[in-house]
Amino acid sequence: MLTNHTDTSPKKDVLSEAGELLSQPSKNTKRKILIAINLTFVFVASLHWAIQLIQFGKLPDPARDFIILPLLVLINGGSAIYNLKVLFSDSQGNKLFNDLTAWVTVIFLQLMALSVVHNNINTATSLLEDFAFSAVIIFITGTVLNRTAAVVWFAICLISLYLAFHNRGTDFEYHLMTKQEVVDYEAKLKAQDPEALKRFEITKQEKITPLPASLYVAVWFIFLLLTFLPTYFEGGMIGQILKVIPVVISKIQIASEQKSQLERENMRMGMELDVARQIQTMILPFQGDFDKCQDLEVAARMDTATEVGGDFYEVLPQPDGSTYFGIGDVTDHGLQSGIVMLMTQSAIRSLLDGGHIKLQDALNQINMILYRNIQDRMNDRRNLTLSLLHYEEGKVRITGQHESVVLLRRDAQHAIQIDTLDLGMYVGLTNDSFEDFVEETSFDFNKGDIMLLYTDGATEAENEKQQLFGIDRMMKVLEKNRDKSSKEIVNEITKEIYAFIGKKQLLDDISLVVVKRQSN
Amino acid sequence: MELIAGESKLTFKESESLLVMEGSMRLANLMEYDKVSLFIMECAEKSPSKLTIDMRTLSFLNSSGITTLSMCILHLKKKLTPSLLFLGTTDYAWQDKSLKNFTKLWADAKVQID
Repeated sequence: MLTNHTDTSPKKDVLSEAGELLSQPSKNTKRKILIAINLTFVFVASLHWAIQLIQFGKLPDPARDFIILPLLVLINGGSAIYNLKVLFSDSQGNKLFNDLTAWVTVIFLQLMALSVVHNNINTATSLLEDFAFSAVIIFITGTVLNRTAAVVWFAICLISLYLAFHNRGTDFEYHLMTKQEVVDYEAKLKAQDPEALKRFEITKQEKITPLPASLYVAVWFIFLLLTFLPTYFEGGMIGQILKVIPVVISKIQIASEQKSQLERENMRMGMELDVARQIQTMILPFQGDFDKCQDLEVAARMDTATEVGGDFYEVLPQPDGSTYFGIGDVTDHGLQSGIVMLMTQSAIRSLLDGGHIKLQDALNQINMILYRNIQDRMNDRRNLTLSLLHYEEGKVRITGQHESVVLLRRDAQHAIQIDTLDLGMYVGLTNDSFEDFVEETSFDFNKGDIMLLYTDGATEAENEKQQLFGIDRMMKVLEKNRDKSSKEIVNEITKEIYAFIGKKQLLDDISLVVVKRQSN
Repeated sequence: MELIAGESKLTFKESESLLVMEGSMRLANLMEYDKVSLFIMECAEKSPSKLTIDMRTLSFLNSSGITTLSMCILHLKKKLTPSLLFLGTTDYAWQDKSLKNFTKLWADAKVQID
């Protein structure tokens, strides 16, 4: 049975969810790296001021302590505040400020490196600091900015190193003193030995003043911290990605399973729809049958809606020159409605074709057959409206309730309706006193008269304004085209219906049977 | 008690044993009408002797809906109670035909058309 298939489609796009999961860890990593570096520099500058004040009671180097370091704190502090704000507000920030804070941090770091390496009191620490600054700058440019920036900065650092090395003098050598030599030298300095004082002045001039090991340790620690923090966040990102990957894979598996299940379901439904459509149309009478109808010019047409409905019509020419007609509409749609229609056709054919059964009796038996099959076997509630007609020698007998029969007499201006309401009941719904409601009526069908049988798909065809095509409109089309062939009349009515509904989809099958009593 | 079914609404006034159906009822298939069927049967349970079903503001009911109502009538016919009174109107073409059929299904299902 064709049921609505809302449950088979995935509720959420798992593939896009997987993509989101993958991008989540890297989302704020760059910002975190930048914040870590900014805060470290603010911390280092503050620490430097504190040490100077404790050691000397004042800030000894005005250029460094009152210009460079305050600028460093200002730039890094500003960048850290901005990026922390964006990070906690869980937004993307302003692109201009995002780039600006990153670039200013990097450029200022570079200036620091240059000033240290070319303007430092000690060759040893200047090279050490230059290396450390360079390493950090390259790391930031590579992670926060981009690869090209990292390459450019690598070149800048190499040039800076070359210049520093060149200025120092390529022939410069470190000469270390033994412990005893240091003790003697410091004793002489304390005793204000002129020779020792002179040497001290020269070392100052040549920027090879001896420095304590603790300073090296401090520099080492600060720069290692600068390297560690960004690496920590970058590493966190890698860890998170690794953790997320199995989840992502299982999501993708679910998605692909759902997709293939959907494909299978679609294929099955497509096949079912195809079978239902075939059932509906394969058993319909065709031109060969119409041509065998004596005295009559018959044409019929069925237009099926997107969802297969349960329309049905039958034309059975008889050897005695009479013709049986049937028209009906099964409730609901889909394969089961198609099967009910198939059973109806078989029952009609076996009872009426070539037989001599009264129309009313045939209808009662059809009801019994269908009721038993639908209710007992199919365990279903489908039923149908069904009218059976028998044309014989200028007279049409009719039984069973369906839509009205439209009759346009040759000499009448307007068509009339022959009501079938009191001729029967829904077929296959109940076996209880069905026959009590089955009646038969008849009308003359003279030369040139036209009879139109239809299903409610035609009269209830709805346009975009929710207006129905209606029986009056259909009768007018019939009247207008009365001189055309049956086939042309069928096509004209269909054309008018489609023109009426416009862009709106066909909601129900449309079946039309036009019978003309030939004039000669 | 109330039930929304597509573009239609069913309201049951228990004190009057009155079920008002309004709007346009075009549910896609018989299965979708199960909830309507259950609702009507619940209204019948709560109506001691007679259930009045007012359809005067029901502009459309498709064939699956008519079948559903028919099945409810046949079900109540077996139980013998409550009897049914359908209120209809000539304003909507489908009502005349369908309501007439309801009386055929069960003689105790009466129809009153304005």
